[in-house]
Amino acid sequence: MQNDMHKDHELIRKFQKGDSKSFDQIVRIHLPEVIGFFITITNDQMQAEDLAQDVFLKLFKYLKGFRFESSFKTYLYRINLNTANSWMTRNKWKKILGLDKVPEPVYQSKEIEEDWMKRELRGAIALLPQKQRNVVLLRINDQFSFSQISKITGMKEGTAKVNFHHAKKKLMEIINEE
Amino acid sequence: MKNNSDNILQKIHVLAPDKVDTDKFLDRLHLSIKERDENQRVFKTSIIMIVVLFILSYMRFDIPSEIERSYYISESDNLFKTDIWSIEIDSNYVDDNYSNELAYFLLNEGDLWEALDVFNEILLDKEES
Repeated sequence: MQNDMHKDHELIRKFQKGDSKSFDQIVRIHLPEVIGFFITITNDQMQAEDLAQDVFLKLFKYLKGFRFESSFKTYLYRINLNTANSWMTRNKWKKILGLDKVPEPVYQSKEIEEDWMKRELRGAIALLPQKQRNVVLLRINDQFSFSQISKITGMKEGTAKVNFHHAKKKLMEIINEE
Repeated sequence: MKNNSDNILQKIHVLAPDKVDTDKFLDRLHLSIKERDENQRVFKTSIIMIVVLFILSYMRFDIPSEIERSYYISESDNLFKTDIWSIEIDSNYVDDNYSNELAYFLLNEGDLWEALDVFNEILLDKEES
C-alpha cells in the first residue's frame, strides 16, 4: 500500500516536471475507483463517467500544485467529494423544480422496488447538509473508517461520527415523509 | 495509521463498476483539456482586447486632451467661425504686409469684390485714425 502511495507521488513528480504521459498513467490507475465512487452515487454508468471526467479535468489543473503533504488518494477523494456535492446540489434543484419526476412505482418485483428505494435514498442524501452528506457518501458507499473520513474532509473524527449519526436520523425522516 | 487507511481504500476496488474503455476515456479527457485551454485562451485574448480598446478610446478616439481642449473650445465654433469676417482682429493693428498678403489671397481665390471691400475698410480705418 505504501508502494502505491510512492508510485502515485513518483508519477505526480514526473507530471509536474512536464511528463504528460504520467498523468495518463495516474488516470489509468485511479479511474476504476473514481467511477466506482460515482456509480454508487448516480447509479448510472454514463453519468459516473461524465463526473469522472470532471474530476480528472480538475486534477489536471491542480495537480501541478500538489505539495505531497497528504496521500494522493486523500487529495483525489476531496475532489471526488466536491464534484459529487456539486452534482447533488444540481440534482436537488431539479428535484425542487420537479424536473426529475418519475411515475409512481408499480411494484412488480423486489428488484424494481429496491431500485426505486435506492433512487429515493440518493434523493434524500442530496437534501442533507453538506458535512453530513460528505460523511454519508464516504461511509455508506465506500466504507471508509471515521479516521480516514476525517483526513479527507478535514473534520475531527468525533465530528464525523456525530454528523453520521445525525445524517442517518435525517435520512430516515426524509424517507418516511415521502 | 496511514497503512490502515490505505487498506480501507483498497476495498473500493471491490465496488468497481462495468469495465470502462480507458483509452476512449483518456481521448475524451484530452479533448476536454484541449477545449478548456482553447476557451481560456480566447477568454484571456478577449479581456486583453477589451482593455486595449478601452485605453485607445480613452486616449485617442473622441476624448480630446487638455491641450486640444484649450485650442478648440467648442466644436460649433470650429464649424461656424471659419470665414474671413469672423476673425476677430482689429484692423488698426494690421500692418501693410498683412494687408497685401490678404489682398493677394482674396484675389487668388477669385473674391475680387471682397478684396476691394477689405482695401476700402483698411483705407477707411487709416483715414479715421
